[in-house]
Amino acid sequence: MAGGSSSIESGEPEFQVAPMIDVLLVLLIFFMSIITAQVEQLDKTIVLPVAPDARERKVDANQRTVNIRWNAAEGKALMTYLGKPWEDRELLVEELKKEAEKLPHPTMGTRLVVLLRADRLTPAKEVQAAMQVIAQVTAKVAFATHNR
Amino acid sequence: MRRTHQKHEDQVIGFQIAPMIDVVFVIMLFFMVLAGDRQVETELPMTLPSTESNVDSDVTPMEEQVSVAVDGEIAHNDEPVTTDELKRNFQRLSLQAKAEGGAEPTPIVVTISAEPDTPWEKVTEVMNAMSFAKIGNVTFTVLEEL
Repeated sequence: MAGGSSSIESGEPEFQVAPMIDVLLVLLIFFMSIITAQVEQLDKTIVLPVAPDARERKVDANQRTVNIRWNAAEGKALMTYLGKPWEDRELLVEELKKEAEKLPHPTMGTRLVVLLRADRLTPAKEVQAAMQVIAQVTAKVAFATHNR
Repeated sequence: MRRTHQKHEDQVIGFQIAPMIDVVFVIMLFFMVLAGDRQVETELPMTLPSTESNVDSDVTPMEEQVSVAVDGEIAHNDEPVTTDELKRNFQRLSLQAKAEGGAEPTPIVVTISAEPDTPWEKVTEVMNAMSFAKIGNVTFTVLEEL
């Protein structure tokens, strides 16, 4: 606003700091809210089961996320990894093995941890099928839940 | 002419820091209150049985059987239990494993057997009890469909 009289006099619009800060804060909040889902390839359509005694999730560079979406109407489960559906489980095993090879471990074989995010209503047989895929690649698995 | 210019300068509103701080504090307070009640994503870290195990093979693990029915009924070693009872059982086992093993507690392996159509959230209740007792080795099986 300082020096406003001169710009009013000249008829040229002035650069306003306050609305600029407003807009930047809104953009910041927007990006903060979407960044986790974007980076970790989380499927937001999945409703996770509740586990009050689970530990809070921390950022882990060795972790990769596999989602299991459950369509109750069709009675069908869909596994997604890296934002893509994987109908063929063997192909998913191969893809995960490539990731495992990038993270070697002297005794365990790999440092890879697979985070399994299954919808709370997914039948156990579908989750077991996903676990069979994971078990071929790594022994370390984490099951995603909600605190409440 | 000089007087008109002076008047115009008096009307110009500068950047006010005090109301800005007011608003920022109110927003901060709002988010602080909201944060206490928010739903966060958590995880249950587990170790699946593996051929390349880091567990000492000389140690015989304590094996526990837990079955979960479609309706969510849980049985620990064929004994029907509630989730609270299961938590207590696991905690007791965990303490026993520490007492027996000393510096290196005897590993506990929980085998969860679920019916094919048991909802995942019911199986998670067992894993939640395991997490409560700090048991991390799990084997997951699904009973054959008839």
